[in-house]
Amino acid sequence: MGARHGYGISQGIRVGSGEALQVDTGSLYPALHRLERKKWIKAEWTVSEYNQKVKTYQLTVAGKKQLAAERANWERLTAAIAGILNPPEGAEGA
Amino acid sequence: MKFWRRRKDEELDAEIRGHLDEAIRDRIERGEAPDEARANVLREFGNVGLVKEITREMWGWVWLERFTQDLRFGLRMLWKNPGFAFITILTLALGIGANTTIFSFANALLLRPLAGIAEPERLAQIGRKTKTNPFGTLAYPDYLDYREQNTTFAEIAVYNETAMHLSTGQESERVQGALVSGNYFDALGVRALQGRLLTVADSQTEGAEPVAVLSAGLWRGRFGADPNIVGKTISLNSHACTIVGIASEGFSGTRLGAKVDIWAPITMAQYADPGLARLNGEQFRGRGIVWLEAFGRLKPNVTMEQAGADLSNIARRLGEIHTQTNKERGVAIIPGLGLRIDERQPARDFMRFLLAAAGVVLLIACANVAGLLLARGSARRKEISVRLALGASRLRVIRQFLTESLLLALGGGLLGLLLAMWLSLWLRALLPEQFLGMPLAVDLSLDVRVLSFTLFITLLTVVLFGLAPALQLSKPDMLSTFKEQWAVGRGAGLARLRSALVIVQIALSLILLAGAGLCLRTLSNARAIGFGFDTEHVLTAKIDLGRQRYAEPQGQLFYQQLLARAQSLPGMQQASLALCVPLTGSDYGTGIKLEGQTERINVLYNIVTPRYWETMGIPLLRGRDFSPQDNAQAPRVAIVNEALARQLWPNENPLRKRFTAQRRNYDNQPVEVIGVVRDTVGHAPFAPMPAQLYLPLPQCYGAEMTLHVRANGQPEELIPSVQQAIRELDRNLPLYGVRTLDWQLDNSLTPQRLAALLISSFGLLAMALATIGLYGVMSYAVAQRIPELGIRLALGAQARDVLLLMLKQGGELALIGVLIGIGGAWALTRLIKTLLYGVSPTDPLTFALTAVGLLLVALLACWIPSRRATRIDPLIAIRRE
Repeated sequence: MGARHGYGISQGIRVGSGEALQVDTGSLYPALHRLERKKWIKAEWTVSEYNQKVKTYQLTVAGKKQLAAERANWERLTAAIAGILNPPEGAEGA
Repeated sequence: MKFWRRRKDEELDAEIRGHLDEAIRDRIERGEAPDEARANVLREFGNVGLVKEITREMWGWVWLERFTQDLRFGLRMLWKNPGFAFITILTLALGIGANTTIFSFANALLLRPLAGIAEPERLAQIGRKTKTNPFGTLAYPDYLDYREQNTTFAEIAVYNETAMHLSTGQESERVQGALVSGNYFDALGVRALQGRLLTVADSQTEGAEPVAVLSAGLWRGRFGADPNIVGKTISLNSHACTIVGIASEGFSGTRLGAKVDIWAPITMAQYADPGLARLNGEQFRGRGIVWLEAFGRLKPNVTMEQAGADLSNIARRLGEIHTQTNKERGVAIIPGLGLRIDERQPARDFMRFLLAAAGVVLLIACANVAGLLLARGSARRKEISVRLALGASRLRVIRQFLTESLLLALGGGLLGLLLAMWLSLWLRALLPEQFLGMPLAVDLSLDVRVLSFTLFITLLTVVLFGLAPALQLSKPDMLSTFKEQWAVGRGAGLARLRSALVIVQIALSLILLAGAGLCLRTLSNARAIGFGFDTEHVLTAKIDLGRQRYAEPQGQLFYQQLLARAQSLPGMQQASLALCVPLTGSDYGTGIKLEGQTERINVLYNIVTPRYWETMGIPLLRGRDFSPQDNAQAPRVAIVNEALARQLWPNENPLRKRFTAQRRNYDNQPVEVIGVVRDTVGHAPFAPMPAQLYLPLPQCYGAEMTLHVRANGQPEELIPSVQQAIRELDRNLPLYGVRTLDWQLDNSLTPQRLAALLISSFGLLAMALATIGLYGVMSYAVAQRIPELGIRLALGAQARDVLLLMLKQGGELALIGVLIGIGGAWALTRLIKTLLYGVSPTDPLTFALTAVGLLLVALLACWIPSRRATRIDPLIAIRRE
């Protein structure tokens, strides 16, 4: 994932989730600034396609590690929930 | 920091502006009209200010910024309400000031190490332990054994404190001195400011090397900080003595409250103290003569317990060897110098009691300030609900309140500290040097410990008084709470609690003020009852011929010459000498046997010169006064007072009665009574006047006498001429203890004065706090009842009616408090009965005056907020509903 700015990230989440998830700006910006303080993302001022100065964020090495760890957690969690919701054949009613 | 902060702010603005611009552009591209797009985007985005605010919080240092913001706002709020700020800060200052003052006493008595001593925590006092005395003085040979045989002390040193006559040839003075072992200064780690201190070499041989070390204070005060002092000769008890050095600044010995100004080697004992001189050096050899205070410095890594066990072993061995003297003798050690062991426990108990009392005062102060904050908070409810409605979190509002409380507390702490400094100075001037076995003449200056204590209790008060109102006032439904309160009475429990607290405070202040009133009436009565003599115009001053090595014949000659000179001084009415002064707490007893009887009777006696009665204003009732002819060669004579005459010869004429007295020079010669005088008080002002025997000085010699002089005018004016008269007779003899009889009288009333002082200070403090508490409760009550009062006014009630209504509410509280207080005082003032004289512990006049005074003050405290109630605009009040 390349560098994205705040608006781009919120649009990305909206579109990527098929309009299912909408990130509230009151959560987005505090989150971005907190991640920046934890040095998991770094910010850069660039010029957009409309020739406007925008602040773009990019994952740092530490951020990528953290992402990998969180993703592994998430996958374990979804697998566990999937296991509960779709029990293996024969288990039901046992 | 500020610059960086501004840049971050600008960046955040730019980032969000970019977000909005892009979103609008997206919508326009999708076909929305620009205005519509903009409105939609803003709606979608939400509260821009809030988003920025919570994003900023992520930056980390926001709390600091908030804090300065709150601080600035808080200061503005206090500035806008100077009356409120003044009263709260004053209340807190009273509480904090009282605590700081008492803590600085506790600090000086129990915590602060003595000046000039190195590593005081490694020092211990060493005492002789017997069945009857847990901590006594040591004998010199025992000390040498302890010093040589122990394995746990780096040094053990001894000293004996004794008064010394210091003279420079021009002026002489009696100073506190100490005879010390050669290792004394080494053991303490004291340094020399000038020259050198005493060493082991100075105390090698008895009677040799007359040298001395002076305190820095004496050196400055008496010798003008003479830089060439070392090597100069002074006269010490009329012996030439070389000054070898000055001790380091502030060092004044090892006991608190006993300031030593001059140190001499222990081998000079026979010069320094007439009592020791009579022992002829036996004090260095006999184990039966115990006269030395001891202390030691522990070796590194040795505990007090190990050191105690070590010395106990030695004591046991000594007991086995010297069975005559040391069999029942143990040893005790207590850590640290300063207070003696018998002074420590009373000091601790007394300080604990006072700190507890001051703690209660602080709690009451905090409760009252909390009440004031609540009352004011009700006036600020609009501001608070606007803040909450605009999105401020409850935590944010609480923080704002606590910041304001912190400002108030800091103001109170600072003012309290000033108050404590002033109070300490004042108390130091008023208090006696000793009280209840505690030295009170201690250094009360501020140090790190006192300042930390003040800061600590200041911060503590923020929690005590600030937290509850902050929680109460920041409730999100506060607006509706307030609306309901006067109708439904929510929070009535809290209001009732505060009313109860005010009642208790009023009752308490009445009890204390009544007690103070009784003490004050006792003091004025004491003046009126008389003591059997005339205290005005009389000056007393002591002389000690024993320390000047006078034998009896020279002494008698000196006394004759002194009286002859004193008698002829201008402004002098009468001069005489006596052994003891009434009301000074000292008296002397002797045994007598009546003629023809074998039973020994103990009586108090005084030694006087002729015309003592005229000097003191004691009437001679029968017989004659002593005359110059009643000398050592003449038959022995005596004068008795009425009480003694009644005791020894009831219903008989005491004149010409005879008895024998067991006194030196009397050799069983019969003593004949030649006169009877009026009774006088003894050593205590309110005790019954004791039976008293008077003997003439020429027949019964005393080495320490007190000169009594009656002046025509102010007795103090005679001091220089009396001093001059003595100097002309013996330039090395100091006059000490120079006091007027009036002063002695006042001093003997110290317990009463101190009680009056303490009780009335706490009483006035309690009254001030009770008044502020009542004011707070009434302000709150008025604020709560605004809608109701508005309706009353709208329906035609006059301002006067409203004023009376509110005054009645407050007056009820005050009256209940006063009634409970009268009951409490009735029950409790008997506790100070022993301090009272000439007034009943339930004196109705005192009680009535106190009650009326307190009620008037209470009504004033109610009147100010009640008057505010009359200025309510009915329209505004009702519209609030």
